Amino acid sequence: MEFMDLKVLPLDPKDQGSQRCRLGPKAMAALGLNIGSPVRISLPRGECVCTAWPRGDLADGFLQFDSKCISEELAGKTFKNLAVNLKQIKKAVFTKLHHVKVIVVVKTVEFKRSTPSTLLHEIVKDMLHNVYVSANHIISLASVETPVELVKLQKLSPSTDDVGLITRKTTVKVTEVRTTESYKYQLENSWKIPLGGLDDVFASLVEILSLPFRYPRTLQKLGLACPKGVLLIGPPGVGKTLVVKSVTREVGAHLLTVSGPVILGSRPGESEENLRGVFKRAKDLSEEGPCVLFIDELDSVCPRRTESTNAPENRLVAQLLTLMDGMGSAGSFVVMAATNRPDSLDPALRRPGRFDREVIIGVPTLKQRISILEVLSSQMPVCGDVDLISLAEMTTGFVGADLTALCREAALQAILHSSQVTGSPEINMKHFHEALKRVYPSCLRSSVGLTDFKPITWEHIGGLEDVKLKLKQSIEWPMKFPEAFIRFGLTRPKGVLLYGPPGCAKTTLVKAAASSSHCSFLSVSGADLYSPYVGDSEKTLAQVFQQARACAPSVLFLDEIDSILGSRADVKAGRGVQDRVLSVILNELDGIGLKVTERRKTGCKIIQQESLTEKQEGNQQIEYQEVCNKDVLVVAATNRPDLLDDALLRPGRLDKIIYVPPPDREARLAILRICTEKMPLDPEVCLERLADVTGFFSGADLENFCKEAALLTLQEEGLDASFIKHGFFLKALQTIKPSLTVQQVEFYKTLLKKMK
Amino acid sequence: MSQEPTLSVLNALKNCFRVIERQQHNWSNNLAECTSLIISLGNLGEQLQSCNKVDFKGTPLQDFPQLKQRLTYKLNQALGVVLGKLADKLSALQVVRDSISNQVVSVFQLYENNSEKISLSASLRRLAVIPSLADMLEWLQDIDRFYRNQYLKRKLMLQMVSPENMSYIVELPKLWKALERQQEHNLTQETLMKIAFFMDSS
Repeated sequence: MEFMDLKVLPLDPKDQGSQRCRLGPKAMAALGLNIGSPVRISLPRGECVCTAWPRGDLADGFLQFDSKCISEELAGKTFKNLAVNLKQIKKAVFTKLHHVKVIVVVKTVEFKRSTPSTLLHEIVKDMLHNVYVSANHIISLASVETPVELVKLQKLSPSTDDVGLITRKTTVKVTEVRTTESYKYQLENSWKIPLGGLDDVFASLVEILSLPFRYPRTLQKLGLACPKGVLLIGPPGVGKTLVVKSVTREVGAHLLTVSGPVILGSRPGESEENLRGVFKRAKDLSEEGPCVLFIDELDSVCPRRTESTNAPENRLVAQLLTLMDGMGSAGSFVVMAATNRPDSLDPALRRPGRFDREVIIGVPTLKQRISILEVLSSQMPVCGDVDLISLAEMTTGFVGADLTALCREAALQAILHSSQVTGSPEINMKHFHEALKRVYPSCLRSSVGLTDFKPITWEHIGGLEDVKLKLKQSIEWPMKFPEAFIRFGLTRPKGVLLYGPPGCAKTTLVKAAASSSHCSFLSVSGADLYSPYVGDSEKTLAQVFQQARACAPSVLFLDEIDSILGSRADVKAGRGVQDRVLSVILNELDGIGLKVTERRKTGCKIIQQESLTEKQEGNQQIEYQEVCNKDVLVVAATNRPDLLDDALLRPGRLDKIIYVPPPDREARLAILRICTEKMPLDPEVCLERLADVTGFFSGADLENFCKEAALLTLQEEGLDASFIKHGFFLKALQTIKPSLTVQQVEFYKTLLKKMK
Repeated sequence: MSQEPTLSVLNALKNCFRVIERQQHNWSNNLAECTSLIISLGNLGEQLQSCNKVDFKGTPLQDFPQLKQRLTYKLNQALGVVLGKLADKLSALQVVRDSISNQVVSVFQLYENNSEKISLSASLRRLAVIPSLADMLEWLQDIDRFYRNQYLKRKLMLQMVSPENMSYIVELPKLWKALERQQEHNLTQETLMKIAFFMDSS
């Protein structure tokens, strides 16, 4: 009997609002209950206060209860498929209350405005008559169908932990009247959103919001108009919307979100009407407390008026402008908007008085990525070997949304792998590496320059040791030893030009450099840029540069740069595409500065040594890295450096010019070793001798030469041959001629002297 | 277990139901008067509305000076009179509600005082002519709640009347009727039927 489970059934309509709970007679007897005595039913996550009544059919094993008085956590919940044990029902001892303080929640703002407080007081008192209550519970009065939706008990006197009864003699004090909307909103949005890497933006937004919301009178005294609008600018996925949500919760404001498509209507004038309605609603809400009207994707609502000939759109923009002007500084009501295309906004919006402040959120830097990853991984069972710092280093160009995707993918990997092994899944570094292969930074997703290539290590390239060293110096060192670079006042070179005869591993060198450093790697060739439209090529190139900057540190590789650019010195009639593309590159490499909207990390600080000494060593390293690696390294390759424009080759643009020479004897030997690594060679094959006789062979030639020898073996000795004999190499040598000539080598040698 | 407490509660119940029966007549009489008043209120509201709308210049009535103002004044005054009467009726309804409420509270009080002595099984026992104690208490509570809610709703309805909201006054008779229609399966009547045998038994 004691452990009897009661099945919860839906309430009878006639019991609606009666605060009854229907029990079987046996259950009532077991609990020692009389008719109408108050009970407390503890439910998952909350509690409900009822009066006990027998069921009409006197059947046992069921429970029906009216959720008139429930604890706040249960508000709006329905109780389905629930079983309540008899132990969860307790007989309550009630005290008659003398005073209660309540918050009244009404349905509409109109009712709140028009009803005098005495009447409201009377109604509430009437409705609470003979109700059993408990502190911090809410009394739902919806069943009476009056404008009063519910009442929240704040304070009972005499205070009791158990149940109190409101009688005719109880005085009821209404401390606050609110609308259902704002009450529900607050109930749902009380928990905070964790935010990583946006601390400075967050703090500045809180400051903007909390001034008018918390100290309106001080501002009035100073004769200041509060800021009314804040515009958030940043690429997609950096967390503009999230930061707004989090800030509004921080300052306890009501967030009213509006998106473009919701406002736009089909009838003429409908969109404007919707917009006015939204502003009116925000104004109504702001009477209850601070309110933030958030317009997401503002560019879709407010495009430039001069560019579009679309009259309805222009009217909508004009409506928004007038509404923002007419807001008045009195209300505690701020408009926030977010966009990722600030250039396409109407310029009239971006002036003080409308959007007073513009906050630019850039692609997260290394430090920001670390803190985002920390926030994300705090919710996940992460194994001890996961190094968030190295993970952040690897994820250049990732925005918050990408990092979220990365973590999700890693978690998915962990789940998939752990399904065979028992135990709870734990995410380790391997899973993150696996996930990194699948998740690409979203700012590069639509880029023409994004290339997928097989990673190559430096060891795959034979010879060319000094070239490798120079490349490492300009690409890898700033990443690995930033503090040394800072100490010597060095900066990364802006550009590197590799030149040399064809087939001498220029492209392969760049690949190796890209895969050894964890940079974003973009590659652009002439074909990507070619377009039949005037100005299109330049635009594409500028866009590639912009994207490369967004996910810096990055390497932008321009292969066969001579075909893309050419030289301005060549006498040609008119200005060709190549001239204009060249001017884009010159400007991007060493222009005046960046566009404002491309700024990352507001208020870039110059590192002060004093402050740094206090910080940890690792932290310092990260700071150095941030300073050192915020640029794009342009790597160009050509075999006709003489055709390039002189302006391109001066220091500050392509400042490091590296000659990739044809392989000498040693290099040829190294290349042959690498090429024949996977081939079964006869022991009599002497690679040294082969290296001797393959003068003027380029790297590509040598690779081809080895292949030819292997093919010859298969041809002559049948398909089951086991070794490549030396003779076949010599035979192959007869058919294959070196691609380099004496003149070519001489040409490059003189060029090298000239450049030096 | 003695029968006395049960009997005393039963007696109190009987008394209470008698009071309810009497007050029920009061209630319905008052309500009928209210309804006619509400209809005239709606009428006046309509007149006032049309008076505001119409332009007397084009009508034969244009010779009368300040006709519009006079009419508005008259109608407003009439509205005030009707509202005053309604307030009276409403307070009469409140008296009904309060007396029923008082009776119900006293019965419950009596039951609670004796609840130790009346066993649960005794209060659940249903006889051919006497419904169980629990049922009757439940009906009492339902009736009490019914009158409370009815009174509250009607009061709120009248409270919303204001000179700015003329269209609401015009709508009022309909809303009032709708409220009455809810009442159609009259709870009190039904309950009184159920306990007819009990009331007749001595």
